[in-house]
Amino acid sequence: MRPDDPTDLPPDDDVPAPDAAADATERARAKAFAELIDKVVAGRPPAAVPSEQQELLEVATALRASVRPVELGASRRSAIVESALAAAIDRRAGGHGRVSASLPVVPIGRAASRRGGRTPWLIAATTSLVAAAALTLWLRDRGAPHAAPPAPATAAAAPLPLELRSRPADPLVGAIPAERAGAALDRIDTIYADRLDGFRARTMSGGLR
Amino acid sequence: MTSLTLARAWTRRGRAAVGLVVVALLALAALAACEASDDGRATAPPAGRVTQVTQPEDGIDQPLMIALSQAKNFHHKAKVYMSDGKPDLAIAAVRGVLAVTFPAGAPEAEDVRADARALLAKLLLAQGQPDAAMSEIDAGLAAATRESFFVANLYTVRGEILEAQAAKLDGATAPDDVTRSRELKRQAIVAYDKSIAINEALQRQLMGHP
Repeated sequence: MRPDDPTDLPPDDDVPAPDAAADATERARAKAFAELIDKVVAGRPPAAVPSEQQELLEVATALRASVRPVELGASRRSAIVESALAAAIDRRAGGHGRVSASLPVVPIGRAASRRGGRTPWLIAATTSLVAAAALTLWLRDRGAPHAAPPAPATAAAAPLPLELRSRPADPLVGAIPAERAGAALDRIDTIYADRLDGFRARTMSGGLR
Repeated sequence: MTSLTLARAWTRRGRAAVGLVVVALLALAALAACEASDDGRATAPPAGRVTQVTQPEDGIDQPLMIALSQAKNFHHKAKVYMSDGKPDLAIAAVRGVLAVTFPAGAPEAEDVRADARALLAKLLLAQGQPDAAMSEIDAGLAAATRESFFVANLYTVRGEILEAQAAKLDGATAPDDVTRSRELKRQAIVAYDKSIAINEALQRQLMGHP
């Protein structure tokens, strides 16, 4: 350990070791915090949140925002585009490129109506270009090997497939006829083989999750 | 004249432009459909809760596999003892299944133990111990937390035990024995009916007919 290593912190008795199994208290705390996040994400935040949870909540919200794309509203998108167009027109006219308050911003819809004669061709050309670009991208993606691993956030949120989970053996065994009432050996063999398949699939697909 | 020519020219151009737009939109729609079908194959994230994650105890893990392996070995031991004419040792081996430690909350544990109790009861009944056999059935039913084919099987074996006890009284002339035999047969039918009812309900449930 280096003396200036920022991770070289004094041991904290309250913080369990990284590989230590979570005890019941820790799991209960995690469950309660998960429910809190669910409420906040669903737009139903509680009236009061303890200060220590408030900090964690902010971190969780920031993490969630960083892994999810933000969609702008239609009006906001429109405003940004119009502003950019106005700036470009201003620059072309010898201005400094900024939209001045005195410069009237012509709405896209009205401007388009003035150029009515070229509208069909503009729309056709733009749409064709977009379609061609999208098609090219799609074909390129299809041809390329899928080497990218799944995003960690998605992997964490995905539920474990049924065949990899501990579960009742009823669907596997089916109804037990009276003449097979004592054939427990056959049934345990079946259950064991099935669960072994699941265990292997779980361990060989990137380790236990 | 000139205006008519221009109008015709514009109409032709307009049609061509509209045709291009339609072609482009169709291409985009096809692309969107392909993307949508890709999404359909992928595992969709759970709806509702963003923090829904698999708990470690939900998955098939090493402790569960070890427990199942031990139960399997005890059953094989019992089979060898039975084929060797040693029913007492076979019974002891099946009791070993009941002593296996499963991960807490593993549904397989309840199924495997119920099945071992059913086999144990049959072995005890074959050894002429109907009361001990019935005790195993009662213990298995008392431990059940849900209805399953294994619980139904316990009721089936319960019916067999009652039927065997009633059969012992067949031909008896004492009024008490006759009454007892009749009661045992009635209870056997109740047990079989219960087994049938559980099986039917579970099969409906598994086939998607609640």
